[in-house]
Amino acid sequence: MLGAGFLAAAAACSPELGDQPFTCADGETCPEGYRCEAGTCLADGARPAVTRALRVTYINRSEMYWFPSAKGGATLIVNDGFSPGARGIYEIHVAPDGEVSTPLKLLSFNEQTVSSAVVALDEGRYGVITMSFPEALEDDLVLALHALPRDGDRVPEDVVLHRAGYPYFGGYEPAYVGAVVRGDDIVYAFTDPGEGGAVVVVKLTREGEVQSSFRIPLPDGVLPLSGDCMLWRAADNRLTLRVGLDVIRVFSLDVDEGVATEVPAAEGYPLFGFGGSVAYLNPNEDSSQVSYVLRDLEGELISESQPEPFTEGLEPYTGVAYGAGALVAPLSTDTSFSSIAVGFMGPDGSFTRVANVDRQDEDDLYTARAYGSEGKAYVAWTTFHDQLMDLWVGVGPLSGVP
Amino acid sequence: MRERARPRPLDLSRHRSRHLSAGLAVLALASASCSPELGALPARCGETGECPEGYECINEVCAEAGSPIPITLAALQYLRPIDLHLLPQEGGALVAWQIYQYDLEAHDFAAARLAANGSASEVMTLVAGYPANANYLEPYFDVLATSDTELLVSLGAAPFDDAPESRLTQYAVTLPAPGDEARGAASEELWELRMRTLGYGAVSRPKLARTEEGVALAYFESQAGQGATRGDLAVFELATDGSRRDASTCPDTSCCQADECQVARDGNAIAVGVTDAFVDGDHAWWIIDDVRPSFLRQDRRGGAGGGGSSSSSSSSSSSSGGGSGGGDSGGGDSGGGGAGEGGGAGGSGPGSGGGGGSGGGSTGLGGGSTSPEAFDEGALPRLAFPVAASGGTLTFLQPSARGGEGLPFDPVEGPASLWSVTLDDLGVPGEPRKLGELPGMRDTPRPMWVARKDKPALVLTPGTEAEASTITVYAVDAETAESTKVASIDRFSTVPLSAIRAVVVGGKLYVAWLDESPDVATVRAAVLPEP
Repeated sequence: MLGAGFLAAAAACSPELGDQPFTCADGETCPEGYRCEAGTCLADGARPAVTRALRVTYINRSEMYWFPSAKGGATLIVNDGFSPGARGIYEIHVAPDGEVSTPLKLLSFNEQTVSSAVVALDEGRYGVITMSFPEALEDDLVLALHALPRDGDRVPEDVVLHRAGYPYFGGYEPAYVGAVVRGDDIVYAFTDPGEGGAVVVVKLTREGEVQSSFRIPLPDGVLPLSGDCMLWRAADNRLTLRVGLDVIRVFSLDVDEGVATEVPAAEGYPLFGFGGSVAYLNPNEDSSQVSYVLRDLEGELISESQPEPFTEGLEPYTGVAYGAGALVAPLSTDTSFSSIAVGFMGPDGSFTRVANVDRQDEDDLYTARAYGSEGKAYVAWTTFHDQLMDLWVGVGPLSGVP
Repeated sequence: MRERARPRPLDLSRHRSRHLSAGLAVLALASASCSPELGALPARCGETGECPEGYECINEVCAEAGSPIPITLAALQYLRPIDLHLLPQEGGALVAWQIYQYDLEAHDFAAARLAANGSASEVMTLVAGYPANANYLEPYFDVLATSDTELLVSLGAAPFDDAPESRLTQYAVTLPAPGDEARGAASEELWELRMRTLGYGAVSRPKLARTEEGVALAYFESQAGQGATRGDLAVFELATDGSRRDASTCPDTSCCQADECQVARDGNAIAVGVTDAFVDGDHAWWIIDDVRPSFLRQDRRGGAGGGGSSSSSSSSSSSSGGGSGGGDSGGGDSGGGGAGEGGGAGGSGPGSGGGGGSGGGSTGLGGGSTSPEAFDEGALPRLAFPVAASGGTLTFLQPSARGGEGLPFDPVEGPASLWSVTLDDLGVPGEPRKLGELPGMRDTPRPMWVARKDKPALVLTPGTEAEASTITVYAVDAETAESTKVASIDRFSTVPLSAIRAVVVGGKLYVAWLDESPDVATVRAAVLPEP
């Protein structure tokens, strides 16, 4: 209604409009002389260096996933988990030149809050693991594996390959679920609040058949409804689990044997598991600087980077596997984070800056996720804009990876 | 480094005000420059009461002269339906709500008096700057009037530090005399406890209930460990000034710190809240959760509960607007029920219930001071809400069944109905008995039940449409469910209604409700003769 009113006023009263005057949903028209691109009416000929791909209520810091695209470039999958009337999984294609597609809704969550993790099932399908509270007359906390088409090449159809129910214990929203592909398997992990709380690790075939599962009792201090899970697969296929929200613990997993070995608690925020070691983000007292630390599975220090500018409230959340190491974002040259740099951490603890994208917005930065492909770094970041959240995407050269 | 952990509904709420401003700006632009056609009720007034030519600003709405516009008490960016309360006062009512101040991470709790002539007092701040992590759930609150100028305010809240435990905070509030509201209210924090929790989002709504000997406060704890996950009803015995009558027998969250604790809801959701309470002679009925509801009947003749022996049943649901009515609560003469926000699950027919069972049970994790024989437990059908308790029988209303996908704002189908469940001598609930059908009415917003002594109860509802422009008032016989439409309140709005509160005082029906649009949450009120 607002948009219609604005357009009517614009038509009758001819106000001056800028280069990016208003948002547009897919299928909506923009005023003459503008085109709808990535949710924004852009003046013809205008090409921003970075693009605001979405303006939403909130995107959880865990729920941004990059994948290679068959069309070239990369695709970003995000969960708009809180915008009224728009909740769901969206795919955004990003070309190597930075052109960003209009977000395509792959899966709708109606008005439910659903946590999710996304993997590549194969070249044509994403696998989306969801954890959702019961709706309507149902009773169970539901874990499901959805197969969804990649690269926007066909009309999204939700094919559920796997579904499992667990007792529901209430709460405000599901804790985060973690998932990875390992060889022919999909492994996911989540926290089941029942029986005192446990992380459940499930191994599926790529068609959703359960191969095995096992439970890891929650460590002291990790509460069941705060049992956020993150899974990392190292280059050697070893898996590492991070669990918790306020209290966080790390486990080295042997999924085939159903064994989890707790890594000694260490200072800092676990960012990536290399199989035989764990990378940590280690802030100083006022969070104005951080160092990136690598420890072995006994907790012994392997390496520590030089201090990097940081700021309170920023959530790198996770590194993204790249080659033998992991990409880490956001880094910057100052605490304002006017640009987003990408770091590469090697399994030997080496730490190098490998990319940089300049921001256009001045909002508070929340989190960022980087991906590398064919000499390009694809960076997605979220910012707090008034009471909403903006998702931005930029592309820059990727160089210097050891 | 503190986690910036979670999204929250406030995000959309704060966004809403920005949209509202933009919308008004567009309207103003269109009005000034483009002369569009305006309807009978085109817009809210400008900040200083501006309206287009031919319209008057009546209760903050531009309307044709003489239109009976309900009063607007507050226009907020966002308000959860459960954060609207209505209390009886001498010769009027008190409307209370929460004001979320996310940027300050300090929320306020405000109230205004509603007079019999429909006018409202200045807004008073009951509790100012309650610390609340903006990334966590907003606090829940309940308020109980112990006199016309004395209130108890209980807050259940997520942690504001690095410890995981939730908080239960008790305030005493002193209001200025009626007519002197500009002086403001004074509050004092009396005590605060950390409460056991299952984790993020597991914060209970607190519930205050007036009892023969003072006040009881209930909170539903959740905990996990040692291979068990369970919920505990914690009941605190308070004096009317809000102080605890006895010190905790347990010093911290290693055990239950309340006067009475009861393991409950085995096999059901436990990260839930206490939604209502009814005091019936020697028993208090505590209602847990509003989507998968259950009840715990507490025998208060022994243990810390003392020997309450009130002769009549009355709802102590201050938040539902009914209030206990008697004693020194300020002259209200109606009781009420139904303070919940609905939401969540679809409705099923009564009789399903599930879970529950009679009282007892081990204290398991962390101990506590439970008297196993003191509580009887039972489950209720989805979305049902109790409206009265008397003589071992609980009466509950089952709203119309949800259609569509079973979501809170999906269409509803068929009639609502009134049921009762009776506990036997051992405290075991029997099969629910259907008393009769009621006109169709949604669960969201929940119908408002106002009990009246020696008269049919009043039920207020928008019916089957949340966007209905009128709130219908039915008189309902609580034993036969026979209903008659006795009044209607014109909202002059089709903005979805998300909460209704009502109370009868001195021959007047005081009604407060919440209009919730994507842009703004508006607290509105009307006063009409008691039907």
